[in-house]
Parts: sequence; structure tokens; C-alpha cells
Amino acid sequence: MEFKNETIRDFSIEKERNAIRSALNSIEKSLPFEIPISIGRTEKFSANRFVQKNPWSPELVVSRVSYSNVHDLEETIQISKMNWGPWKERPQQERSTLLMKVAERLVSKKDFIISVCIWETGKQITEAEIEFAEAVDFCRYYATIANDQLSPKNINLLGEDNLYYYQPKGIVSSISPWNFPMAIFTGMCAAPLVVGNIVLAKPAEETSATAFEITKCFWEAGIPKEVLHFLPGLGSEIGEAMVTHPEVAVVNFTGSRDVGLSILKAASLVSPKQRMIKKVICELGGKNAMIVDADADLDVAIQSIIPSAFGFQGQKCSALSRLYVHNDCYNKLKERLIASLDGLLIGSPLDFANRIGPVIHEESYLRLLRLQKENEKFLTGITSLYPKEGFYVAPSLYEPPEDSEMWNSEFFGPILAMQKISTFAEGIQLANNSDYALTCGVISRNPKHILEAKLKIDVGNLYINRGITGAIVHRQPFGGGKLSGTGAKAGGPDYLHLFVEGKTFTENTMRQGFSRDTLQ
Amino acid sequence: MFTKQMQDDDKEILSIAKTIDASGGSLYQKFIFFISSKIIFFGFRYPKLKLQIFKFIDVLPSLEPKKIYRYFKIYLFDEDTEIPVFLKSSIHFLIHILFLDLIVSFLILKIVKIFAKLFILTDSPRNLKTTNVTTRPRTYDILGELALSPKEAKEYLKQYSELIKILPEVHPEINSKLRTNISIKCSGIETRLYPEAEEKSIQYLKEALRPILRSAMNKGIGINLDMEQYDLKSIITQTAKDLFLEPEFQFYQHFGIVVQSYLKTSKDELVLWKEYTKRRGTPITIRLVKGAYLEYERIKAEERGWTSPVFDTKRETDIKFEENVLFLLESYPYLRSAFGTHNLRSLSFILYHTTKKSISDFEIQMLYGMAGKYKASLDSMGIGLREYSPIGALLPGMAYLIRRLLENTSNQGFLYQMSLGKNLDSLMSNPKEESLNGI
Repeated sequence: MEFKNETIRDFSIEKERNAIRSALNSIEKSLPFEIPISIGRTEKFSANRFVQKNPWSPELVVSRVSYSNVHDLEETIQISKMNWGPWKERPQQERSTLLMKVAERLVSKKDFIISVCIWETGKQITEAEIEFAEAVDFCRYYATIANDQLSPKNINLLGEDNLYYYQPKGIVSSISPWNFPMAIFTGMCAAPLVVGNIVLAKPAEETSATAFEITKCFWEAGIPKEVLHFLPGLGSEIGEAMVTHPEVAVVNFTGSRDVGLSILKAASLVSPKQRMIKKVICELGGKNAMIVDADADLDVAIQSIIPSAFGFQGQKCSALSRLYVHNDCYNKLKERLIASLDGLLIGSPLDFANRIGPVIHEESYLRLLRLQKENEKFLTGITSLYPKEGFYVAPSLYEPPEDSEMWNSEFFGPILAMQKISTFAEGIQLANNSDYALTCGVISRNPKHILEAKLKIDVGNLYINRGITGAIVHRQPFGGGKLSGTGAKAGGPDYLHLFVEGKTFTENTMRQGFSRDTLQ
Repeated sequence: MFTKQMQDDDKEILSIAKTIDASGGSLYQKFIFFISSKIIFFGFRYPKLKLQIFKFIDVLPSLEPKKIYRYFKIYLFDEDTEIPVFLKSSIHFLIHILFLDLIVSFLILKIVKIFAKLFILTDSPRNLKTTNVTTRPRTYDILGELALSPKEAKEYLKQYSELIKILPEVHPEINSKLRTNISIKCSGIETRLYPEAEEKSIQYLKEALRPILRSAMNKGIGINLDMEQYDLKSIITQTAKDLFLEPEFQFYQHFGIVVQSYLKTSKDELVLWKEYTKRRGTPITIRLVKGAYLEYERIKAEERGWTSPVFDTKRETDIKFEENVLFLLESYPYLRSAFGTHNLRSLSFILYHTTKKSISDFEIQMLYGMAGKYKASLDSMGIGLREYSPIGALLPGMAYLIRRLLENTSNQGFLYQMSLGKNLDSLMSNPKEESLNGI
């Protein structure tokens, strides 16, 4: 199998624009989406529902999501245990082929899925397009890698056969976030499935409709409903149950640091009926820095900073939030950045000219407004024009003092802090001075500094002379260390190994001094 | 297969080329031509060095003058180039022990500025002296950093209106070839251009352009919209089509646009432009160029997994250019031709066919600071020639300088081939012919 990245559509073609526009406009009349719980072949709705409002017109309800509970989970586990055997025993090639079909199925429903995602999240069209391509990439990439790299390895001697092969770990709880409901959700289901695990998918409450559309593509492509279950609901309820259930072998979590750390703790406790050590994969937050060197090309710097810090309203774990700028170009960059900030078009993603949309929900909106208020005295630049209806938070730039919280806490919003540095080395030291180690950027034309950055900056993804978000499957495996996660690299060659266990067979084939090979 | 007619054409073209090449200008211009071909030759023999020099020139404007030598050392002495190690280290040693860092830094800056000055007319519209204006028909272009905010775009707009204010009014009866002209880079005056929001982008761009068009029209100055990267082509083209049809502008004869022959779609574009001008009822000028963002387009296409919008080889581009020249000439008087080229074969091809079709209302456009010898020849042959003349501060105009240097030192380039001492006959061969000469 050969892997090729899914292409991004060329928006300068009118036909392409029209197709997505009509899909996007058609969503409103089918609102709200009623999202069921899907356990094996049964689908059901619960009395209690989570309500996701449209971020730019909060009076509209986009989705009503059924809460699944402990009993649903128990039922799911029973079905899973019965159906795991046939699924894991299928040849790898078959499962990989199925995943390839999932990719095709996704592509065939592209405009609709992207539209649902935009209505749930307020994501800008090109960002949604790129995210969708990533979802497709995950399916194809993991299918390819599983097929090519996880085949059994034989080491046979004259009288001894050795076989090393990979066995899926069992039931995997995939608990995914709302910020990349297409890409991350798909990736977190595709990887464990393709190597033969059972997946219990728990999407974020906010983006369950998008996740449900994607899950349907998996089923329609031929992934049995008995091996991929859809369990929407609250993190504190079904999420927690999925972590602590004794039959769950792997907890695959992407989300906030606090939840991640509590999952690690909860999963380390062995309950009475539990017969395995749970594995936890955590991809958590970031407090990502960029260093702008004295000799930086400021055009490149601004074109990297703006989308990295404010793209999808700063709601990416890879988003830029700490900017360290060399003395020599500090004022010039600041001035241009402020001007550029003020030119950002903010508004509903239905208008494709807008660069920045609303944040995900009221809670986020109020939290970010509070943060902005608290740090008002450090404010240096802010986008002044934006709609007052909807959850819009103006992108803003601050110059906080060194001891400010702005340098440490993850905000998940369009808030950027900047600080002067007098040497590049100081920039590296500040960039490293963080609990997180996810992404970092360097804008420099000094080859010595670039080399130094590569050697010394402690992050999972270091980007040089470009933006620090938008990792592409296979080209830029994504994930970080320190408190940013357990070191998984999604979209990279090692990711699948997290969902399998190595097994060794050794067979003595010698009988009375002869063997298969010596007899010939 | 080559028909007899085509062979005869080629013979004629060769003889025109010989005339242009031979009569070539003053001794000074010949000297410059000789020197630049030597430099180009040098640049090509040492490609790694050339790359490092270009990278160094690119970073130069951001450096404090006293740090220049430090970077010069990093880029040219520490990196792997064709300069022998002992030479690199001994030069550095000398500079170091003699404390020449500052002097060398200053010298380097001076040299680069001299180079930049060769390609940049002047640093500000204010310095355009009226005498300077009349020497040669020009199309003015304002250089600078990328416009990344409405504020920066407004500054560009201001410079354009200042330029229009400074330029003298053009007599209505003046020969089109002599009419003052301004080239406008659309992404400089409007930052909100997004392919996914084409309709809105067009609306923004139209709003930004209207005042410029209006004031230029009032003074009888021609306006040409430059073409940039492929991403923006559709927006710029549609904006031009809409604007030039608005009642206020519909009857102005001195608007122009660019068609890039390296695009696979260039011929179709021309066809569409011809239909358009028939509808408009007033001709427009098409500047036919080969294209300026070749590497960029290839890189972007690869990154996105798209088929490249440009031809892969210089030969295909050359073939398309000649086809497009013929189409343009046949489209006269709907489309008025302006040919942007420094290539001797292309020039001769154009001259041959314009003579043959007895079309005199066309122009050749060349960049300020390039091919001086050919310009002089064309002048003496009485051929109208317009210079694309950038105005802007020398150092921020570096991106432009690098584009010119790249163009001048391209291994596919005509000048390089000349500098190899290839004879004119082989350089003049028809691009359609399977040539062994490699160009």
C-alpha cells in the first residue's frame, strides 16, 4: 500500500466554493441533530441530553446529544467481548482495506461532514478543510502502516522456529476533544481499530454530531458495529466509567491537562475484577512559544504568528501563546503585529472572508472575557471590530510581566503574550521554561541559531520559519512530552505500537536429532 | 515536422536577432553586457556559492550594519561552498586579526546597495525628477515589504496616489507607446484577498482600485494590474474584468493586465480576454510575460498535492509564449500587445511577426537595469520600448532584487547560454524544434 496525503481543495475554483457553500447553508433547516447512543446493533436515545448551541447564533441549537451511562457501557463491553475474536483474527490486510474504504466513504460525504463541524464549532472554512483532509489521512496512513510494518517477524534456526508478532490489546476507550472533531476523533478510532482492537468512542459533548457522522462512515465502509461503539455523554459520567472499567485495556485520551492527569491516576488503580494493567495514552495541552530572532524576516514572522496564535480562535493545543522577540526588531514587529491584528476579519464562518470565528461555547467565552479583563493593563493590541452577538472573543496581544500567569496557564483562546529578549539563547531558555513541551517556532535566518534551536528546544514539534500549527499526517508526526502528553506521535510511524502487544512464539522443531531442514 | 514556411521564418528571425545583437548600444553598455555575462557565468559555475550569496543578500536588510560581516562569515565561509577551505579561513583570519570586521561590513553593504541600485529606479516617488520621467516610457511599480495589514496597504495606496500626483499629465493625443503607465500589485493595496472568499475579495479589491484608476484616468496615465501567484489569479482577473466594464471606466483605452505564459491556461486566458474586449468595446493592453513565480508555484503545488499550474520545462513555456504572441497579434485591435521579455529569440520572433502583419501599435517591455545593450539596439531600430521601473527603498526592495538576480543567473537563461559562448544560431533555434542545444 502506498500512502499519499489527501489534497486540499482549490478554493479559487468556483464550483468547489459553491458545493461547500450549499452544503453549509442546508444545515440550518435540519437542526437540531439528535445524537443517539450506539451499542452494537442497537441505537437508543436517553431522556437527558446535552445541548450544543451554535457558537455564532447561540439561540440555535445545533445538536442534542444523548447521555450514555454505566449500564450502556456494561452492555457495550459484553458485546465487545463476544465480537473481539473474529475481528482480531481477520488478516491485517483485510482490516487495512476496510480502513481505506472508510477514507473513501469520508471523502464521499466531505461537504456535509465539514458543514456539520462548522455549525458545531464555528471553525473557519479553510481550517475545516485542512482538518477534514487530516481525518482522511489518518485512515489511509494507519491502514498503510499496519499493513506494511506490523507483519509478523520470523527468526528460524535449524531446529527452532521463532515468531514475533503483534496482538491487539483489547478494548480501547477513545475519549476525544471538541477542537478537532474530525481529525482527532477519526485518528483515535482508526488506529486502534485497524490493528484489531475494539473501540468505544466517546466524542466531546460539543461535537457529537460531527463525530456521529464520521462514525457512520466507519460502519458504512464495513467496520462492524460490534467493534466500534458510539457512546456520547459527559466526561464526568461515561468518560470516567470508560477509564475505570476493569475490562478496558487502553484509555486513549486527548484533552485538557487536568483531566489527563486524573485519568492517569484513576487508571493506575487496579479494581477487584481487573486482570490487566491499563495503558493510558494522553495528549494534553501546550503553552507554545515562538522565538523571533534579530535577523528574522518580519513578513514571515507575522504570517506565522497570526494564524498560529489566532487560527481557530487559538483553540488548538499547538496554538502560539508566548512570543519572545529580539530587541533589535521588537518595536517594528510589535507595531506591524498590532496593525495586522486590527485588520483581522472576525465573524461567522458562513462568510468565507472571515478569518476568526466565535469560540466554542458560552463557558469558554465568559472565561476568556474574564481573562482579558484581568490582564487589561498589559494589553497592547486588540482587534476592535467584531460582531457583538455570538461567542466572539477579540484576538488580543499582551505584554505581561515575567511573573504573570499569562506565561504558564493554557488559555485555549485568541490571547497572545509577547516579551523582549536580548539574545537568542535567552529565547531558548524562556521557551523551555514551561510545563509543556508540545510545539515551538523559531523565526531566524542565522543557521547557527537554527541548529542551536534544534538541539536545545525541548518540544515535540519544532517549526522553523513557518507557523507552528497544522501538522500534516506522515510529514509531521504530532505530539509532545513533559506535561503535554505521554509522548505519542499521532500520524507517525510509531503510533500503532501503542495499541498492540508483542508476542513471541518459540517452537523447538528438532525431533530425535533431525528437523524439517536437516532431513532434506 | 517542420514546414518550409517555418524554416524560412526561423531564418528571418535569426537575421533580426543578429541585427539586435550586433548594433547593441554604446561601448559602456557593451561593457556592462560583457561584465554581467561573466558574473553570470561565474555564478553558474559555483552554484552552492551562488545559493549562499542569495541567502545572505536576503537576510542583509534585517541586519544591523555592524553585524554584517558576522553573517557574511556564517553564510559564505562556514557553509559548504565551492570556495576552498584554506581560502575561506585565511580571508577570515586576515579580516579578524586586522580588525576589519566593521570596514568589511560597510563595504559589503555598499556593494549590495550598488547592485540594488542597478535594478531600482529611485527610492521614492518624490525623487522622480521630471527630466528623469521623460527619458524613456516607463511603467512604474512601487516596491516594499508585503502588506500585512490594512494600515500597510493604505500606505501603499498613498504612495501610488502620490506617484500619480507627481507624474505630469499626459497629452491625450500621445502615442500609446509613450504614455506614462503604472503597474499595480494588487496584494499590496488590499490584504483581504482569499481564494475561498473570491466574491468578497473582488469587492474589496475593486474598492481599493477605483480611486487609483480614477485619478490615473484624469491625468491620462495608463494602469496595468500586475499578476502575482496563481492563488490570486482568479481574483485579480475577475476584478479587472468587472472594473473595466463599469460605466466610468468602460471607455478608457489605457488599462492593461498581465497574462503569464508559463501557466498551462495562458492561451485560454487570452481567448477569454479577447471575447471580453469585444463586449467592452474598448481595447485593453495585455502584457504577455513568461512568468515570475515559477519555483513558488511548483513548491506550493507539491505541498498541496496539486498538479502544478505551470509548465515543467522552459521549452514548453517558450513554445507557449510564441503561440500566445501570434494569438495576441491576431487579436489586434481588440487586444493591444505588450511583450515582456529579454530573450533574444522571443524579441526577434515578435519583431518578425509584427512586421509581417504590419502591426506597429505594440510595445516591448523590459525591466529597468536589464539588457541595456538590447534596449539600445531596439531604440536605434525605432521599436517602442517601455521600462518596468521599480521605485522603493533599496533594502526592503530586496525580494525584488533577488528575483532579478535569480532571473539573470538562471541556468536556463539566455544570458547564461550566451556567456557559455554558444553561437547565436543555436540559441535562436525554434523551441518547437527538438534541439540538442539544451535550451
